[in-house]
Amino acid sequence: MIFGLGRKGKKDGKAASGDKTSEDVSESRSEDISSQPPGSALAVTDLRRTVDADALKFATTDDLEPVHGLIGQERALKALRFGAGMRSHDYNIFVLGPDASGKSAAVRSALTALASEAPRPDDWVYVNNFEHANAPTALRLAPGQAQRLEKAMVALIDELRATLPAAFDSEDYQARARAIDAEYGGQPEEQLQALGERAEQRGIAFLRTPMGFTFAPMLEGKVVKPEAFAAMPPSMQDTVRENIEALQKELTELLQSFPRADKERRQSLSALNEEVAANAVKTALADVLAAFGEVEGARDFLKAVEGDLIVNAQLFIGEPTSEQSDFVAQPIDSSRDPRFRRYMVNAIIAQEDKASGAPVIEATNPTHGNLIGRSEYLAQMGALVTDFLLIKPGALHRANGGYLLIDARKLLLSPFAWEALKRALSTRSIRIEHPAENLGVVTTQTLDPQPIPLDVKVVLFGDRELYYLLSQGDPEFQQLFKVQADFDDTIARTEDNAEAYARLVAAIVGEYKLKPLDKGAVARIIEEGSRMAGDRDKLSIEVSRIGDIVREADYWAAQAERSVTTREDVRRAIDEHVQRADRLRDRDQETFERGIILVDTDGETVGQINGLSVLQLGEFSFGRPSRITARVRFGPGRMVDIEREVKLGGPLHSKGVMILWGYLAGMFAQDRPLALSASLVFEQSYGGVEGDSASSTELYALLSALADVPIRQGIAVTGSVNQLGEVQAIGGVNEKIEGFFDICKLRGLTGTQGVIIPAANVQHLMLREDVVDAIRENKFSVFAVSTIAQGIEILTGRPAGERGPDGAFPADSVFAEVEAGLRVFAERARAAGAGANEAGKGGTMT
Amino acid sequence: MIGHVASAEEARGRVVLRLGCGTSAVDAAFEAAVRIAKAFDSEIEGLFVEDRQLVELTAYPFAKEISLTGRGSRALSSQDLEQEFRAAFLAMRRRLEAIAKRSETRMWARSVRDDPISALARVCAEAGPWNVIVMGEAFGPRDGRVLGEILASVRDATGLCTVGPRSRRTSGPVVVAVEDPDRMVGMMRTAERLAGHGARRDNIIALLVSDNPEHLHWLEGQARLLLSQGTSVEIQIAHASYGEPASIAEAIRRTRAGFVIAQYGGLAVPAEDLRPLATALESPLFLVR
Repeated sequence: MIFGLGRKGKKDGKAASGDKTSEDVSESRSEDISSQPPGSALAVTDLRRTVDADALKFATTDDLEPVHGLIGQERALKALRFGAGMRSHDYNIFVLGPDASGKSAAVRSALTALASEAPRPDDWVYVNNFEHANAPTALRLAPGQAQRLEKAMVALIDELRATLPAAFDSEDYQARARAIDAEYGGQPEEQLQALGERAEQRGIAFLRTPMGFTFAPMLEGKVVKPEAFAAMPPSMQDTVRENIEALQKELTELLQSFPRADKERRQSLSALNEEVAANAVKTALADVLAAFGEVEGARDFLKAVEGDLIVNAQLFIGEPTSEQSDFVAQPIDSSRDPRFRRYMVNAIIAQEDKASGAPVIEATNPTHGNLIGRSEYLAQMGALVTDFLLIKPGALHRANGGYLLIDARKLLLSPFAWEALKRALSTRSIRIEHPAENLGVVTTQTLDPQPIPLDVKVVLFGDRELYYLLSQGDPEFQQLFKVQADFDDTIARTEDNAEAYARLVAAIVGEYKLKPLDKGAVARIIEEGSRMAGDRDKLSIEVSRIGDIVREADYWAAQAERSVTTREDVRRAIDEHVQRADRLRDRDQETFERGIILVDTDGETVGQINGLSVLQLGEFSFGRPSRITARVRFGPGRMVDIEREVKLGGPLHSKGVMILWGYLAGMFAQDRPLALSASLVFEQSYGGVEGDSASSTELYALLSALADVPIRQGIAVTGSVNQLGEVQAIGGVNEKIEGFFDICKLRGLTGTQGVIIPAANVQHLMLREDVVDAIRENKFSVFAVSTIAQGIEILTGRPAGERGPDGAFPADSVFAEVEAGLRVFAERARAAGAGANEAGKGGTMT
Repeated sequence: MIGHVASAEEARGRVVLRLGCGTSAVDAAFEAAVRIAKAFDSEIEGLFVEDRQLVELTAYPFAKEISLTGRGSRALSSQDLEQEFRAAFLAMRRRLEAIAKRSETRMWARSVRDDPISALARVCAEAGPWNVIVMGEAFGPRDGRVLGEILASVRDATGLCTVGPRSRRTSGPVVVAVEDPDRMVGMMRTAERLAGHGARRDNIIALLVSDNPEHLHWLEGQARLLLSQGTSVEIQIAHASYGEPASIAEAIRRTRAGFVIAQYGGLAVPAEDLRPLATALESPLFLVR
């Protein structure tokens, strides 16, 4: 049967749609595809599944109730609810799905709803550990109590700054201090002066030297000169000497007693100080103890504060130096005064009184420090110092008792962060440590804060590749993330989902405060959703891209001074988006137009055919034709894939070429050797070739060369083939058709041009409106084929041929010509002997 | 006294900072010297006195020097003493230079060998009548008589500033302990000059001191009359019950003064016993005759 370039199918399609334009074609169903005979040109209705705007039950998106979150993702949401409900520490959730699908917002929305009904988590504070200052103590407080404790401690210090100096300034204290001085004979200076007076009474002067003390004979208040002393009676001299020796001994004993006496005096004074301080401190602390004494750990802390305050009461009565006098009039805020830091409270998690429910926290920058918290440092005198007040909470602290959302890729790219998160989840506690500690490179003061118990549900977001990579490469991952919420890239294009799509558009309009869209605009967006999905029966859930289209359409509506966004605005937004990105496509098409890249779009040639490929440039992709040629000759059974030879062909492409050999051998060389040498090449291909979507194309070129039958150059081909000659589906079918259409359009559409695609790809067709219009006007065609035989008939205009009862193909059929050609090669091989032996082994492919 | 200098609008005078062989000079004394010098636009002369009697004492064969800790003693030799004097003077000079640089005050230092009080009298006489002596070492409970001797012997000094063992503070109000209204005007002018260099210009307290309630009442009236014009001054009253100096000393302490001006030999600074004041005084003390 010949599958020529007949227009029947297209005419049928046109008849089915009447005189309607492509914009108001009734929504067609994929079942219609089966109405077309295999190998025929497709009907217009097969080329693009449109939406009947009149069938939509609203005028504008203002009439719709916006839908927030995800649509058509019941499986993923069910998994999410399950994971959120499992309070076990290892049932964390990995959300799989494409980027920009809006899954983050949807998950956050779903979890926020769940969290709102959960209890408020406790507050957490870090306080000074008075025994081990480098190991701050964590205290758990009821929600809302952290700030109260923080303020209570500041108030306590403020109060003591007033009461303690007053207590030590009181006459009572001063009198008792003087009594202690008196008990130990007064101050050393006073005792020395008393000794001096006693010496004076004995006629001895008590003098100070730069390094100590000395005694000298004295008369009338003056030291006796040596000559006068010598003139004194010897007995008097002896008496003076004895007095001096006695005084020297007394002085020595006195001086030696000073340290001991001073120590005892200071001990007594310390006891007095502690007694006075304790009275003031206990009075001031009473209220705080009453409020927080029942909290586990808080009583111990407050008792430690009490003890420390009593011992260090001098902190409160220290006088500033004269150089600080300008600042004395305005005392430093207690919470900022370095003297009182140790009594302050670092409320790392403090719930506000009005807060309710569990937290849902998104870690936008999940570094190690941002995740598990960190100790910051201050530079003091050239050294870095830290204390418990410099502990900063991480996202795990803030999310404790609730949910923590993290982008998995960002997490994995942050050094130490992934390991720290796993450690926290495994140990069910948050331990703040500097990552450099693990490397042993920290040389400055560090903190080892008491770990805080962790009860959090971590939700990681990532693509499937990342999920499977972690599953395979990290044994702990599967242990800790037992729930996968798998979000589809696309959803089925059902009536319900189309309606939900429209409501999603309404939500975008509301979120960005845009002009409403009329039903035609929404219909066009639904069609674009299928186009983005690459499947007429699916809708893409790439929410961000949909949002972009809606917003850009709003812009163009504003430019056109419309109050409602129309289908025309949506179309323009899509076209303009493409135009902004298609500079390279234009350049590429120019090379075809100017004959730099050789591709024929009319005429017939033996062993030459137009294949189709897709170029991806960021988010924009487009198709382009490539000339593929095949040359055959008698040979030792060898097929040369030139792309592979020069290492430009990928493995899938090479596989496709090898399949051709299997097809040829099975189809035409059952009873004779395949004495063929063939070469295949993508002409003017300077980059890599991968994929098997051109394998059927290469086979057509090979058959053409073997049969010496020309191929129509106005037809481009895409599709892979198996050894049985069945044509299989490929990707990017829309872009490929449009790519060849654009080249043909540049050169002028003749009505004989078209593209052959696998029949299995018809369901994916969502062609551009201008392509559909051209086909409606019989200027272009798309053929769907299931077998090589169907395709070769379209390409050559001759029957492919089926073996008759005699085992022979009909004369004048393409396959008969192929078989004849191979027979000639086999006979030559037999004549050549050695070559035939080689060929008898089944041939090779390089 | 310097009060005279101020009233005569003769701005210049000299502060003689006396440093001897006793215990180390205290910071508060240096700060007091700087404050007085700045208040009166004066310069400071550091006077290190080598006690002549010590030098003569080296001639005694039994003269011994007992160390500050009492753990050792040695024969007192003139050679050792010369070295110690020299070292102590150099240390004092370095300290003065550092303070002069920091406070931007003109200072110099010299060493004289004489009796301690004679040395002061001689040096003060060299530079004219308007000197203020600042004692570098803290006074002891029994030093009242020595302070009196200085005030009596050194006629070319208008005042004597000293510090107690607990004097640490130089910021705060200037407290004038008034016992005699005749001296009040001069003392107040000195206070104004000192307060002018302090934190707050009008931060002066007149502490009226008496052991007689009727006299105190009369004193208050006189004070209010005298202080009715000019600088605002806070008036406080200290009643020395039964003539007890301790209550006056406590009243002074409670003012948290940065400088105290008082008359030597009265209730506030009795010549016989400085123990209460030594315990209570937390600032420098400016004594007038």
